[in-house]
Amino acid sequence: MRGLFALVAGSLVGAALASAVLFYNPMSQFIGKVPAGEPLFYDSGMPYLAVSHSGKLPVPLRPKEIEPLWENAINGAVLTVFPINNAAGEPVALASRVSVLSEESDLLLRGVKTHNDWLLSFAGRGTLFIDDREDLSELVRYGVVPVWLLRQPWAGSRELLATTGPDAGSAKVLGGTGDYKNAQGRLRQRHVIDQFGLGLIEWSSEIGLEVTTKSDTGEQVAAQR
Amino acid sequence: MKSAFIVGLLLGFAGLLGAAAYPWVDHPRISSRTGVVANGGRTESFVIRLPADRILVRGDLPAGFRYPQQVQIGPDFGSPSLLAEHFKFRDSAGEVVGIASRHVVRAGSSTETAWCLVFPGRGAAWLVGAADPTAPQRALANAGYTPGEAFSGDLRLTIAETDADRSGVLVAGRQEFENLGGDYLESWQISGVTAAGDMLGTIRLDTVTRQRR
Repeated sequence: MRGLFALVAGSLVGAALASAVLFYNPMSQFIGKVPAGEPLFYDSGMPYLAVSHSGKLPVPLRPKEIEPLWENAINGAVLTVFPINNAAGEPVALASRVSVLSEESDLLLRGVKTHNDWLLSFAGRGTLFIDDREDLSELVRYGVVPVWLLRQPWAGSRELLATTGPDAGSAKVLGGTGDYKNAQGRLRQRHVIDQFGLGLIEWSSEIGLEVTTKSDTGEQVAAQR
Repeated sequence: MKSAFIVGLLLGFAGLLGAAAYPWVDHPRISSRTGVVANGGRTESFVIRLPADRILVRGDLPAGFRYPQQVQIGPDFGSPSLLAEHFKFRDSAGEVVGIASRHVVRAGSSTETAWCLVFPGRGAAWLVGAADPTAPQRALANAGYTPGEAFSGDLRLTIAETDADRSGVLVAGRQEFENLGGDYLESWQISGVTAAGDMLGTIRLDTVTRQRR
């Protein structure tokens, strides 16, 4: 009986040690970079920001009338629609981003990865197609664990440089419409989380976007943004 | 007792790390309902049922129908030029398989549509094509629809490029859609409008895709 008790106690201590290893796991540290290019901005306080998901995440749907993504094939996705401001605070673009957890994710070796598929449209100019991969291990470490599991909301200013790919630390511009026909380029993001509580996240994000467009003959004709 | 504690400790440590290394994300995979084209490529059709599959509309181009109805569309970019619509979409059997974003942008004298179709279990596809955001409203007006009143009918329209039997092309993809090219046809079937202003009908995207060389 004492042996069984020792076995269980040892298992609990071992699991606690493993939890500490996971929490401070150096293998899933962020590898993103600071945004380059002309900065663009969006944040959680913007009017017209919209978020839809299965309805089961501890983040409210916004606006509350939006259709939730409850069906089996899509209930792991998050749709975010947000206006984007330039440095002067004027709205210049609108983004639609669908995020899904990557099937490459794990909690030990690769971290918590997401695929983010964007349409990013600049008013009067055209739309960019963006394949964006992020590593949200830091968000899990400092958001999900203390707030959602341990119920300890925090306020502060924590930087999250999460863009990891698919283009060597940058999201990839795959093409576009209008002025961005045949566009190529890259995008990086810097998020700053100011408050993280149950059902409440206040954050601001900076986008660095570098885009070049090419003529149909392949000649580079302009650098945009 | 000491050896039991150490064995337990190793088991607990290795067990939790082993569980953490397990790839736990596994999106539901719904079988693709594809056909084969005689000269190469595959066909696949997707359907958006209105109003059930609407998620949200945003932008400053006239949308015709606002959804959710209580919500302001915005933002205002100064000169109306942008409309972003979001839908769930279904396979040809009627099962929801993904999320579609459609942006219509007026740039100078041209207006184009960009679609992003995200299939959580398969990847994503980006399409570019012709745009005519007011075509459904014009068709309804021509058929005698009066805003604020219920309407029923059977209107069919196709959003096609000039002098072409297609709406546009597939320009990029991720995962299953990477290295695919092809084209698509967008067609609408409108069976009515409710008194509350909800359009009843379907938007259909018929795609033909093939490997890029």
